[in-house]
Amino acid sequence: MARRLALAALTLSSALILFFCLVGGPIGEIAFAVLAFAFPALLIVVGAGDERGRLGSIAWPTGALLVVLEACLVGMLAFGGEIAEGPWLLGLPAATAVQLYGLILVPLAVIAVGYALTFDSFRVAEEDLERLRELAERQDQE
Amino acid sequence: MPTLDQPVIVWTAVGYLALVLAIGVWSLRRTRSAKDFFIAGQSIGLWITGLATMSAAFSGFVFIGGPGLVYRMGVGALFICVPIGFTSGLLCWTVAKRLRLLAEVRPVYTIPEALSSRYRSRAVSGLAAIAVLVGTVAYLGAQLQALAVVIEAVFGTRELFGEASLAVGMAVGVGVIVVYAVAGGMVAGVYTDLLQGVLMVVAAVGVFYYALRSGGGVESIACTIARSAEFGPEFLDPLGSLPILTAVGFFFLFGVGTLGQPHMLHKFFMLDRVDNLKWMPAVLGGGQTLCVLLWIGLGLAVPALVASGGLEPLAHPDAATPSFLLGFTPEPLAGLVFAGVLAAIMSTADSFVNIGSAALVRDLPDAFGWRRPRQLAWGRVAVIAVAVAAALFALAYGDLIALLGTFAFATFAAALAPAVAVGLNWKRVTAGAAGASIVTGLVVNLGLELLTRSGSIPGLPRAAIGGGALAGVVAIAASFTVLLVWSWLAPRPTLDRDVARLMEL
Repeated sequence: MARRLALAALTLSSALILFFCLVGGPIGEIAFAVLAFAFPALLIVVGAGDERGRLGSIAWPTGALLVVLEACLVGMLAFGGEIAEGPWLLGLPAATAVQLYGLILVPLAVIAVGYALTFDSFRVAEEDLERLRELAERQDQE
Repeated sequence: MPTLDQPVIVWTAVGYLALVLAIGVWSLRRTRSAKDFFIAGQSIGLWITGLATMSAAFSGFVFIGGPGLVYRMGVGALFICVPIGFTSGLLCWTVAKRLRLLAEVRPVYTIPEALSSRYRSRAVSGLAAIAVLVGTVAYLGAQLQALAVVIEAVFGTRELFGEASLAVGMAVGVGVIVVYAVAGGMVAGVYTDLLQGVLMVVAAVGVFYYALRSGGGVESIACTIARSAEFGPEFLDPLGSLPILTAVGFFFLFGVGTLGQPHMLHKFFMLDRVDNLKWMPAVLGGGQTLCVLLWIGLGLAVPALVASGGLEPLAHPDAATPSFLLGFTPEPLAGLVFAGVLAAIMSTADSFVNIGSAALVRDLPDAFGWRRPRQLAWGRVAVIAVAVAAALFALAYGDLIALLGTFAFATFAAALAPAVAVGLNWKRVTAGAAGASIVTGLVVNLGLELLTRSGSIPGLPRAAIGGGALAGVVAIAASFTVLLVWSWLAPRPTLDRDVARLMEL
């Protein structure tokens, strides 16, 4: 179900990204950004869902990635206009800090740890691999 | 680029080139079959695959073009490298396991062959091979041009050869790449990639340290930029220094587009065990993050130095890295960085000569139903043909080379990403949908590139896109839309049983 929903969302997102690129305008730009930041997480759901399209343990890193990316977008938009007078974070204006720390380091940590911790849930067992080889051999003979 | 012909830099570069050639000769004895030549015998472990993927993905642009682009455009240009935070996971979750499993059960050495197995269609494989060849010639051409510029700067060849200097530099670069790629194929490719990856990381971390030191730390650098009249606070505004459609477009193109880059995807065929994927996002993403420290460090430090009078304003943005290295780093580190730049360019280039060669001797003959020529021998001949064709292309269109890298990345992304990333995970995707998506990606990307440059081509209308939207983003969105809509509407296709089972694992 999750995969099917993600595929429907991807279809809609790609069409809307195309539309907003062609139309532009202030609202179109923001909508484009929201969809572009959601696209990677949707693709991961399509790729990582199990046979029945369920996410299982992969739901948390995927969900976390989506939340982090969209929160960073909101942060960059909110702090962007006030670079000189606005808050600073870890030696950088807040918007720049969100871009560099929030969009590189946080997703990397979520992804690297999330992928390794959930790897066993989608590990390919040796007997599955053997069955796959047999199917391929039979296919080759046909 | 300023001339850098100091003895330490020259000898570091010479030493590096000699080492790369030595690896090529060593690999010759380990390359006995087409499987060795094209996918390194499928015997490469986690660290080598991770670092080889990283060094193949990062060209000289990371070291030279990236900091220059930030100097010219502000931190909005960093959206090109920011996606490294998630692209390693995106690759592993979406395509790595399926590609590796395909290579486990079928003789799949290339992306077009993977698509042929998935879609049971020679047409899809042939279209993908054409996309690979178009992108390869453009990407390789850009790398060879960059290589010639660096060789000219390091060895000072302009004084010796005058106007022919770039051609001479390119010939030397092609010569070195061809020798080690012809001799050792992908075995040489991955081991030089390993050396190059380590070199790139060490150089990037070293330069980052000196960049922070030169400006008195991150906060001091940012304050200097924000208070300067020349750059001002908007330079530090991620979504204010460029139009949102451009800045976020970079993020989308270089994030999602990674799924269509054959020089990265190809590395997953080489992995010795599927289980080695477990730490791949950490190794690949971690290596990439260390490498872009140079890009980010110099992207911020050089404007701060210019603003504070520590550096003269740059005559050309691409001079950001060499100017900093000459003025603010010890000579051995500058030498190491230029070896790192050579490494970055050559590691990307060798991946492409291999992929282009495979497209010529495997994918296109298969697509047309011709008998494959003798793989190992003709693969080596094809390496030379691809390298020479790309060099001639780069020489003929030298003034557009700077734009070719982005165009080539977008070509691969738009043509291949939907058919690979969605197609390997959703059984409903038909061969017709994949073929239409590849054609859409190629035609839209190429068409919009031509139309957006219509000022230089009389008679062509201007492109309809505006507001800073990137041609590559439009092409990717169009090809995803075509593939997804077509697949929802078309009847469910029949898949080979092994492929269907593989997509369930």
